Amino acid sequence: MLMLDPNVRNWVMIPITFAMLLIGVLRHLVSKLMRGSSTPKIKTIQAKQLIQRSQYLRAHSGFLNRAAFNQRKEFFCEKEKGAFLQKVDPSLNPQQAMMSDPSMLSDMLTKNLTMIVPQFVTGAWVNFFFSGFVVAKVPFPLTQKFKLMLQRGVDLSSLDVTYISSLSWYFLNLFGMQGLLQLIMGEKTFDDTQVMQQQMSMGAGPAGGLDAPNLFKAEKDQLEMMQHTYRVDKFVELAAK
Amino acid sequence: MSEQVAKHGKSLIQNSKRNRQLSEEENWLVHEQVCYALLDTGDIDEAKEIVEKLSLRFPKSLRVFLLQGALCECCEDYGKAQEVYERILQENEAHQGAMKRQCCVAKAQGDTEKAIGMLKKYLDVFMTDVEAWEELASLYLSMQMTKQAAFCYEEAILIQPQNPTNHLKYADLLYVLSNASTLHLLHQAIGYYSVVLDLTNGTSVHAKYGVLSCCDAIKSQGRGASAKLTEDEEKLLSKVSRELTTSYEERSPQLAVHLKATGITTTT
Repeated sequence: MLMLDPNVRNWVMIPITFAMLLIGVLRHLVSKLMRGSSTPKIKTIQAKQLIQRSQYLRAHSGFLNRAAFNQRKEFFCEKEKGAFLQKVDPSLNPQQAMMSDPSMLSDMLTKNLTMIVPQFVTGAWVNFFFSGFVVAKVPFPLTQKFKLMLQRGVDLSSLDVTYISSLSWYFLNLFGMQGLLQLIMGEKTFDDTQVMQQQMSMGAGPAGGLDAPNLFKAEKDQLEMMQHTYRVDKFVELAAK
Repeated sequence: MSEQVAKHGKSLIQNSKRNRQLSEEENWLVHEQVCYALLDTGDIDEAKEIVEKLSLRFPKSLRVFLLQGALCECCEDYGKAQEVYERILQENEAHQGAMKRQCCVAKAQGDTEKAIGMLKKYLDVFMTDVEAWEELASLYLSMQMTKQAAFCYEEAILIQPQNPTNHLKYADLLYVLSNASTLHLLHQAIGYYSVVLDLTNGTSVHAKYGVLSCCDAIKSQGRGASAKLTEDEEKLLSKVSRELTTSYEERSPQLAVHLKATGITTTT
């Protein structure tokens, strides 16, 4: 058993928690201020709706007769005038959009600034003033693997896993504050974990953006491959029973 | 519906004690809803008060502008309403509400062609809006443009195949569009009526009458082999006429006589 000094609780654990809470509130307010009203562009909506309409067409084509289906297929896929073969607005192509539209970059920058900078500063602050403290103990047993998570900054192989170091306490607060903040602010606050996920997937594809040219091409291919069957006739048999 | 919202909402807004129990955000949402309800029920003066209150609180909100436009429409001040909507669209070119309201202004002014044009422009962007397709269809119908209306219903069916109303209207249009040389349309119409019967568990009297009329038209207009119904259609015809006759006899025997007099039902 380790005896934790009540002063550690009063001067390390509570200040960290309190500071994290305040910073959370502050970040929420700042990001609310910085968030510009982004109105979707009409071209973006149109592209999205085109794709959705073609999806509906593929899913429910059985309810259309052959002529009506072909008419629509032509609208989407015809060689020259087809909706999916039109030159796509460059702003809908994420790579090009990044080049041509600097507001997108600055948008990302401000987003990152409100997120990374406070994290950086508080991390440094905790690391500088509070490193090396053991601040708490979880009341249930844990496996050795948790040592990495709970005892960051304290390299004692003989210390029981259930003890939490100050740096780990900071990280727990950083990621676990979301629910508490929501209770306090009474509205949806930004979610750190969500932002993280978005950043992770950034390399694979555009976050939230629409990759119109590729989606158009995929949709067109699927429409062209599709076999149309008129299913309304079958309902006569069904209804006659 | 609107009457109830207007009645209870009014008392909620005016009763400051109960009002305070709502959070501020919710309170303004209630204001907006009640305002639309009041416009629906024609209490223009009270709606005006609420719009003024909202305009004071949210001087730049597009939603409040939309309400102001709707208010102008209710006062039949269409020019001003149009102006308001244009201002909204300047700020947000993809504002669905304002675009839709503009069509309604044109429709209310009796300019159906302009309304159709506006709605087409709207549907060019928001092409998965079922209600807009239905509205366009009914506008086309009022202009006797049946083929265009049929196209709109096809689109509505594609988006919401589970809604029997669209199938029913489409089938009616196919029946209207058919003539002696396009009997296949009638066969298709029977198909769509069957879809309706399937979706409504065989309760739609409209669809039953539709089947009867279509079969009747095929028999009377077709020549030789083309006047023949398929086996399934024959079965459906006898089933439907049987069901219609019995349900008429059960509910109102007087009308059953009329039904028989039309000769549309095949008594088997």
